[in-house]
Amino acid sequence: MSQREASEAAPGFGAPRRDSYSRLAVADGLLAFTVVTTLAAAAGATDDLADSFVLLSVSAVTASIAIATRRTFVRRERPPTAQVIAGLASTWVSLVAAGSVVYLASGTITTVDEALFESAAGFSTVAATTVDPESLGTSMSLFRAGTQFVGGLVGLLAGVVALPRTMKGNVQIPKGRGSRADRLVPDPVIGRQRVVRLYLALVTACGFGYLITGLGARSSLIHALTTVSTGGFSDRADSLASAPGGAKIVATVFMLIGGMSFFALFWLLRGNHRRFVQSPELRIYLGIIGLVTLSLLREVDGLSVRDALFTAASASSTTGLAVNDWTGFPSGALALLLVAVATGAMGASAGGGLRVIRAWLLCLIAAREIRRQLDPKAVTVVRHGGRTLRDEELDSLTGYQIAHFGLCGIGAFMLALTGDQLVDSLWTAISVVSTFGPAPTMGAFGDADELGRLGQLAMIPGMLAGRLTILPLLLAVAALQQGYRALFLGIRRVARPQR
Amino acid sequence: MSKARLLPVRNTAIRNTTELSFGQAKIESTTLHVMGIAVAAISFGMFVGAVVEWGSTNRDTPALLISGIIALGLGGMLWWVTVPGTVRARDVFSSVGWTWLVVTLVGAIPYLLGGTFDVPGIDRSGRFVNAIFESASGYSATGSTTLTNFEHPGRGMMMHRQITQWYGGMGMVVIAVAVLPFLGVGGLDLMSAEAPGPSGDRLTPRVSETAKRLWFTYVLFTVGVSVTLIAIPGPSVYDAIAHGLTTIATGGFSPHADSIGTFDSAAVELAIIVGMVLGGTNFALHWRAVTGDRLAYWRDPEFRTYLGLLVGASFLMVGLLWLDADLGLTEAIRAAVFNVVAIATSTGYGSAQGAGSSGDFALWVPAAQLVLLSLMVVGSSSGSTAGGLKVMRLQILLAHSIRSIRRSQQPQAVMPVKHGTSAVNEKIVSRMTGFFLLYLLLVLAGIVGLTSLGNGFLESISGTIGALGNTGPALGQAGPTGNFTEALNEPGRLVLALYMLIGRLEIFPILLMFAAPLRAVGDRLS
Repeated sequence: MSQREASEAAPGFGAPRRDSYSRLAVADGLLAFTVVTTLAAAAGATDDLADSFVLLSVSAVTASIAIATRRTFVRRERPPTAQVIAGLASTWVSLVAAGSVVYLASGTITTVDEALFESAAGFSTVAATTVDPESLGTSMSLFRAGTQFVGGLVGLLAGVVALPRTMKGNVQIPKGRGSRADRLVPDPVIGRQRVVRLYLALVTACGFGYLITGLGARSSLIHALTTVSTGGFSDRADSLASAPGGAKIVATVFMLIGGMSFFALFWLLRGNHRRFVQSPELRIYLGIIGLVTLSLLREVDGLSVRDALFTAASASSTTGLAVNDWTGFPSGALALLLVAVATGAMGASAGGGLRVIRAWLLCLIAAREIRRQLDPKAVTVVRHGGRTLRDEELDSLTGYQIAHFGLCGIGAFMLALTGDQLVDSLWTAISVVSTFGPAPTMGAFGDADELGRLGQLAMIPGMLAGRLTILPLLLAVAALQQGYRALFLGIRRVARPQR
Repeated sequence: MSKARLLPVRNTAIRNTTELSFGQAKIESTTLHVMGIAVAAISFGMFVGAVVEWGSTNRDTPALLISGIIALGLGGMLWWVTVPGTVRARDVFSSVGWTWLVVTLVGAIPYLLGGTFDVPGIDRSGRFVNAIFESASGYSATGSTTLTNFEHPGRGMMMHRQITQWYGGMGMVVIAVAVLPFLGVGGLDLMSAEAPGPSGDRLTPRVSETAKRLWFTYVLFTVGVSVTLIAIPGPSVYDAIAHGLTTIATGGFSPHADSIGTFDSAAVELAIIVGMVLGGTNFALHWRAVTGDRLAYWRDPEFRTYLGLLVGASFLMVGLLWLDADLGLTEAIRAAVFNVVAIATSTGYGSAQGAGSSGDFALWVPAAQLVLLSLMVVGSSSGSTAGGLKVMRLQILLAHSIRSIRRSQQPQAVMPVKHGTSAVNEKIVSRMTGFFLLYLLLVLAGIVGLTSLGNGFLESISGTIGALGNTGPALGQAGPTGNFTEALNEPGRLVLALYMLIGRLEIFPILLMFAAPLRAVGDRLS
């Protein structure tokens, strides 16, 4: 009996369980949400009882929905790509909706649009906020950080477990190759477990790091949840600017780790140091951070090495934590920071952006075109990681990335419509789609009130695209296109019936 | 000559010498030979400028005459001492790239000799940089300017400046007509590298015939625009000819500081708009239409999209200006349509009557500026005199992107990328994506480079995109009423001058111009 048959035959509410990958993905997401919400409520029970009550109430509802869904539906062994993507998008939308309810019910935020933005920023690990973090109680602060923790985890599970398995042959989804022992995801169940354990271990280590360096227990926990997830929320209005020096170093280290591929981290944990060090993507990632650090030191007078490295790591890993108001830096430094943000972190990491591997492959494709021009008859290939990439893989990569650039352009236009200056619009759109957050308009500490209501709403789809790759949005557009085509054909048939 | 052509095909810029009948040794070099013809050809513009100057302001006559003699002498000498060799891809790029660079340098001589940039506040290096910038902007048909005082140069010097854009507009078709008969086999390679845009549309089996027909169309339209402007009240004959030269060329230089805004005439603007739209259309379509195929335009999917883009962007811009910029509807329509067409066709004329007027798009609402910036990137039709990525490339890239998305849903389906009703070869799709990525990398490098040199963010972004798309005016201080002398520092202006040439020659010739000489050196060393 196959796993599916067994599941379908399992006793539930008497009826056979229906197949729905996306609903079960939503249920998983809501369960994670419930855990975070309950823990936040418990931690803040002595501090603000009203907030804890709201959190517990919402978590009870989400838990009920999740459990009922799990009892009603069953997962296919290998669902089609479209279902996986639909599942990820549905999960994200459900989480954002649930998060907004918490903000509104607790009175932390009074308007729906701002609540949606805050929740979307949390689950997309974007460091832009509409609330004053210092005005929040312990439970709400923890909940807010928890949204980023969950967002980072969802992004990781999507990038490491779900998408590489379903989108075979698609080079833009990085895979862990090598022997079975060396593979992070030998099968989905083990893969999920390993990713969650590794993620939790990193968050715990980061929290201890902050605690040891004197950040305080509450602040340490909050920053640990938002550092490894490359989220960037803080419980301080000036992020980590006034934190002890040691905490800044800890943040730098864990932001760097958060932006690293979990495949590479797994190799390191397994003792395969050589493979870790020889990863070309890792080298480029660290190279970009080194380059940005050096240029920041050159461009900005009086900037310390520690702060320059912190800012570069925050930009490259798309975390968004800040130790200074870098929006006042010279334009050369800002341009390089923008490039680092747009390039983003490594593939299969908690970070966002274009991803180092994709940016590198796009450069290789451009270089191939130069070689082709020189010798049109020569066979020119793109190689990466010792493998020659197929044309279909490269086509797929470029096709998605063109859409990615287009999305940034549309986002910038929407912001410009709200009156944001041109450079600021471009910066903000790229920053949000890369899940970084701060931009010259919002300041280094991500004050999203500066965007205005329309600007905030316009950025929400960009956050979704940034967190879960652009695919969910694109498929929605494709579905719309097909819908319009069907509608058009239907109208034509009515207007001109066949003889 | 025939002996030279039969030599084995290995290299190159300077490879061999050929003994001629009267005992002189000639160097076999396609690059130098093409360069010689091109440099000699631009002397014509300088002599025309000298004649105009002599008959009018008579300030810069000696400068233009001497420059013409230098160009003719240098070009003639290069032409005389060289013979064209075999043509391979790298030789094509080398020929085109080096020729354009040398033409730009020689084209700067009149400005330097005439003291065009000898104005207070600009030192010697600044004058040199400005002269190079102005020359590059002219021969690349860009239209960015470093002139701060438009009254200072004589009318002949300004006419020379206009003529540089006329040369640049149709680009190397001028040279192709003159050079191809000498080059014989392999000329098609040269043509495809020099003709603007990705279109490989040939009107006749012989490339020299194709070039002549395009050239004829170009002259015809230039005369047409000039005559129309003469007929309209406002512009003088000098102004009409000067603007006729730079309209079909989609150049954008004007002898007046306020550009087309000087005339403050809707009729002039309308005539210029029609001229710019024609300049931004594939010239092969023009030839077909002129020779009787009236539906040639409508059948072309690129032209339909190009026109749709202009109309759509104009509507959008009218809406933005009318709602946000406190302009009346008529004023908004006039300002929006003119500037949309000027930017989309990469002409870059301005309709502003001084800073702060309705046509000063540097002060428009940010959304309108972003639309203009996008139009700078897109450009016009392939096979036109305009710059930018070109509409056909964009169509194919979009179709490619949509196919990638649809493939996620149906991985096994066979989905060709279509342009109009015909499927596009996968190789072409792949090459276009490669070109697009290279374009993006250049934009990125330009922005990072310019900002690192200490220039402003807005000027760096819009300046880079404008230069690479051969548009001309940018945003911020480099806007239609601004000036690149004030907007960017000297190294920044030099970077943009290089970018204009890269944009004009569709990236590869400038990037690969060192390939042939390097191979030649390598061959010699080995």
